[in-house]
Amino acid sequence: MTKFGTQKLQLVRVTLVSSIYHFFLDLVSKRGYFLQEHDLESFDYDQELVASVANKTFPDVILKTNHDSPLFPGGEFIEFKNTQSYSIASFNSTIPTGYKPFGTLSKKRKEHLRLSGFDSHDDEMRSVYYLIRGRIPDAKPFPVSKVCLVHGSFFETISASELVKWSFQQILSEFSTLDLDQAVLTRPPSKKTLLNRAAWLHRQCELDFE
Amino acid sequence: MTEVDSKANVLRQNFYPMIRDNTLSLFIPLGSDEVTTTNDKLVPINQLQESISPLNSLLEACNSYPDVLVENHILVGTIRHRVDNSHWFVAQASFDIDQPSFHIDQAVKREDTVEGGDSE
Repeated sequence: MTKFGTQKLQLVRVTLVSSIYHFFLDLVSKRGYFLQEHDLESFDYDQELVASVANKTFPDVILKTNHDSPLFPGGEFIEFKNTQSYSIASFNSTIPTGYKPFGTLSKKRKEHLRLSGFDSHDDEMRSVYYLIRGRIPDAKPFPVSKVCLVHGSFFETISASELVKWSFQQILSEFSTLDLDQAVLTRPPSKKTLLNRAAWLHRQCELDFE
Repeated sequence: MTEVDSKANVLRQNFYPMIRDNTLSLFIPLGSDEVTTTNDKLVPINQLQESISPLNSLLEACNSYPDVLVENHILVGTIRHRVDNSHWFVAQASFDIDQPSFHIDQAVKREDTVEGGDSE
């Protein structure tokens, strides 16, 4: 009979280093949790690894930095994606990418990280990871789940610049196929425009009479 | 609802068969000069012959946990991305404690570690 690992490995860390590898090992020690229905936000992450947590703001988790460890610089951004299937919805709120500059964070969040000593320059690039859990709740005899902690460049099947270019081309292409109605495209002059035009006409009239 | 490119969907069995049900996996990109072979298979951590930086970092991170040989719970390997053929390092732990990579009830204690850590 198959048993599932709801037990903990009881890992006790001895060094105060944080990185995506340490985060992964923390998840390994608690992986039985992923079979349950809870959301990823309420997971019992090792708070010693985490510098910042935010709900519904990119990224969900920012790991602590380690200024004295060249092997583990830390500071990775982690975004959660939880699905009730093995499909992954497209990244609507942000273009998936392997790296993002620290400066993309909100002013409030940067201030929080500055106060706790885990900030950096705005142009410093941080690695981005996606923690994806796909779950089939009605699988027999038990629900099944796959959890992947994936570097964001895995989803860069098209570069961000190419994606933006492609999007504009798409918009232009769709626009060019519209059956344009000149009457609709003609915008009525605004009140300010009318007043300016009236003032200009008034000045022209005055000049004519001089 | 639109979906990510199916060839970049790590949950898809047909493209990434090594990502099995009830597993937790880590994906790290590799430099093109870092790996010579990828066979899309995951093996116990001491059987991966390649010397690659993510594996070394993972082993180093494992040393931060002296109570248990956590690496005994992890399979590793290198795979190719199905879109651009780039090389990726994968580490995986199973939720199923009957799987070879999960001997939680017989976790190997390091000899030089004093017992008496947390217990629940």
